[in-house]
Amino acid sequence: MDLSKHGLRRFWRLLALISVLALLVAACGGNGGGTTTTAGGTTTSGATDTTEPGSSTTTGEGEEIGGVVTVIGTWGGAEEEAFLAMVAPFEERTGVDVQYTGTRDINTVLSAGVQSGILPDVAGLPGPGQMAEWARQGALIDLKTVLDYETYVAETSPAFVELGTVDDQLVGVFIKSAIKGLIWYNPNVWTGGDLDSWDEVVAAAEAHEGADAGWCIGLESGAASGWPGTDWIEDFVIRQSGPEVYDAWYQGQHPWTSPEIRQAFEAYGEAVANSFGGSQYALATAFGDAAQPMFTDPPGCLFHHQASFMAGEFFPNYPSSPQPGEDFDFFIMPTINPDFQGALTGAGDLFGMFHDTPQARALMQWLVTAEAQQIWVDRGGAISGNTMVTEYPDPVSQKSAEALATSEVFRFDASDLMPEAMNSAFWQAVLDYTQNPGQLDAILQRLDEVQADAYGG
Amino acid sequence: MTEDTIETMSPDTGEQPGQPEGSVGTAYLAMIGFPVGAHRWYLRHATAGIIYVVTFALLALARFVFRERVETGFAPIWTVAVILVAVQLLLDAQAIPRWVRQRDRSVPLPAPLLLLLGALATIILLPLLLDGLGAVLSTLFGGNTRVGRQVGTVIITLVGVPAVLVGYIVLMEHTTWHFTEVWQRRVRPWLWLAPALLFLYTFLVYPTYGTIRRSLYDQAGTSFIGLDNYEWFFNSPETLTALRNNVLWLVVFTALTVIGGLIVATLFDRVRYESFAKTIVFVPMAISFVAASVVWRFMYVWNFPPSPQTGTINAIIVALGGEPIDFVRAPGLNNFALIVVAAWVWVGFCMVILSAGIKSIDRELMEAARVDGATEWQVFRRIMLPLLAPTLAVVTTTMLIFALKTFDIVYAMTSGNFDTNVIALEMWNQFSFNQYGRASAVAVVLLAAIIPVMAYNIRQFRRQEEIR
Repeated sequence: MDLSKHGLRRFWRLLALISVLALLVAACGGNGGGTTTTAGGTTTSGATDTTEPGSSTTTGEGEEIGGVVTVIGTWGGAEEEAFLAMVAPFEERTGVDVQYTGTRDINTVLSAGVQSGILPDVAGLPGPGQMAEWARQGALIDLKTVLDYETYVAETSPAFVELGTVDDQLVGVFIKSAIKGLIWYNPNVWTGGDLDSWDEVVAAAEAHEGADAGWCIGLESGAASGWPGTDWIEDFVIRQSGPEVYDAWYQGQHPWTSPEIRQAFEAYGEAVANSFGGSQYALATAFGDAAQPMFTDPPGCLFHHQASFMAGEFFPNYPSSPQPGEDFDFFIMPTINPDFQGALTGAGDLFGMFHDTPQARALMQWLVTAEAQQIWVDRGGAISGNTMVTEYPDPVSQKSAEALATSEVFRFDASDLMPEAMNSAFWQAVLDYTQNPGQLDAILQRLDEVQADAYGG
Repeated sequence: MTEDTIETMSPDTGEQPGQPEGSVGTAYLAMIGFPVGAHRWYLRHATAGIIYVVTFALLALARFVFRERVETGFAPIWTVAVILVAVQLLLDAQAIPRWVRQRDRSVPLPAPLLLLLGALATIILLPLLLDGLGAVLSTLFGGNTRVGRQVGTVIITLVGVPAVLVGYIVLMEHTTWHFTEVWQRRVRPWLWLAPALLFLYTFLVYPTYGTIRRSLYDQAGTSFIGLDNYEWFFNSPETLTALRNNVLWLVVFTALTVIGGLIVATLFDRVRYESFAKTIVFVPMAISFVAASVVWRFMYVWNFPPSPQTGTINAIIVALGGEPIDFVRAPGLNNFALIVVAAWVWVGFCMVILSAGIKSIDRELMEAARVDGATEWQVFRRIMLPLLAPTLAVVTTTMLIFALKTFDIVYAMTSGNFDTNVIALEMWNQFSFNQYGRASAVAVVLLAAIIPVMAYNIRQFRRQEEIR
């Protein structure tokens, strides 16, 4: 009894000691992190960090500078590997250690960072809307002073340059891009090849010969569930009503209850009604897995509407491992209103710089080059933001890149350009509408209310 | 002053001003503020005067030498430090003639002075120490400056924090020796409490005040808008849905956990495999909410009917000849599906507390009742429950608080879609929409809802402790 009591006391002492140590480590972690950054930002006493920040305007790519650059992005898994492969030659050449952290919650992480001042040197930005907000708060560094601006403009499609510019400052550059509004099909099932008119697509989907349904739709995407539906609606808006309505709409100047937007919702609703498993399948299925019934026997659906990334990231991992060109192919969603011929929507991964360090500068300079972007492109599924990249590993990527290069009207994904509150409400509206198609009036009404509110501040 | 330091945090240039040192310095100064004021007695000594003069000169010199570093983040602290030193110098100047006459040298080196010096030296030296040590260490780590600095910080904090704390206690005791005994008794608790009060202020009082204040300002935080954010809260459909769901959580979650815990605790009481059975019920407590959500997402998986049901529950339903249900999305049902997950995690907690309550009931009471011919149900209803009431109150209020705070499960399973939103998640949403004013308003509402429950909980808990 005595012995066990003694042992217990020792145990408590040990526990107390451990908790004190843990507290100390926690304390120094919190305090120390900030302290060191301050020291790093303002002094030159570090052993290797001898370059005064801001004093060097250009750092040659081949120059050995060493040090560290911190990067936060949304990429995980295969995409993270692709990014790390992209920066590997840079690390080798410059000796800079690229410390990458991937998070799905990038918006919250960076929003909190902009408020508190604890930010990575370089980060993937959630979208142009959020980027513009941070740029106006002065959190992002003008890349005109970092990059060779003229070369950047010459090598990048004008739409992308414009999207990265806020108040005459270049604050975001595109690392890779994807075009949206592709109609994927399995050539073994749909033998009609590419279609050039939307009416033909609808007719084919209605008939869905050889398959259970016309479409495969999947909206599940964790906290971002619903976004594939917003892509559908955006593709309808730009093809039915043109870029002017599209721009006014994402800028908050065109009401959701207007006939143009309602028409787009209804067109999407028709597709859901003619989809494999109906709305229940659409709501419960992850966007990446949605097209799986296209490759089953008997096939579940004829078409799948999704961005170009399906080819690189999802189709290859399906159970039947479909091959590009043989088992899956695509055509661009055709023109609906002939007045707006060749309109295309897309998206891309934006990168911005929060801290002006020589390492961050060198990294940004590297990432925009054709040489760097070619590395990701070679891994499949990505289209370069740099027009000098012309070699693509497979016919599907090649076709996407050509479509992007030749598109007459190119618009960025509208929901990504909307304020975060509007974007989120849009996602939710898509889910609500998919679940209760009869409530469209109330749903659009609610979106109008959010619109009146979200663009104010 | 605290607000000034907060203001300097806004990253206009992308660089971070010296906020961390700022708060450390503020902490030190607040620590020394009291003894400096209360202890004029010491200031009669010339040694003190000389040291003050030297300190003042050193501070001036340091300020000159490290001007760039000092100006940005340190300005408010420096102002206060300089004022403090100046005041002490004045007091000393008065004291010196008296000291000359009395020649009283028996008193040791003034304690508050030591503390002041220590605090100021730390403020000045911390970044320098960090830099220097970081530079040395970084060479050890193959030129990795960041790792070097971090290790340096760890070492300094590991040595510095205990040193400062122990030093504080020693010096405070040292100081109190010089008071009369009555004053010692009055002053000592406050001196010992001061650091804790300071932490309480920094991490509890100030943030609460900041949140309430922020909730009265607009999105940008620049103009005062009164109760507009609260008006939004009680009029927006999202928050009203969230409120409704929270009420559902309050009722159903609390009922499930408390009743479930009570049933398990009663039925397994003094059963042969009691500890084993209880362990099984308790194990989910060890799982984080997010992990539990992931587990239950698999349990709830729904596949489009021709394909086989891979979710456990739907597989069972189909095996029994039923129709599979998409639990997470089915309107009306999904809230209950989420609550079940939370209850699964927390029922073990209720069980443990209630079981301890049952064990503390005097067995003889129940035996006596049984001898008198009471049925088991009567024993439970008329004897156990009344005696268990205080414990039940504590468990229930604890569960009420958890129900109000629900976030993780909803976020991980539905992200608040399909009408499953809750208040805490709405707060998070508003935060991610950059609506800090509204997010703060939601937080304040949540706080206001929790405080009465919390107060009752603590009172009840105290009362129970008194009984023991």
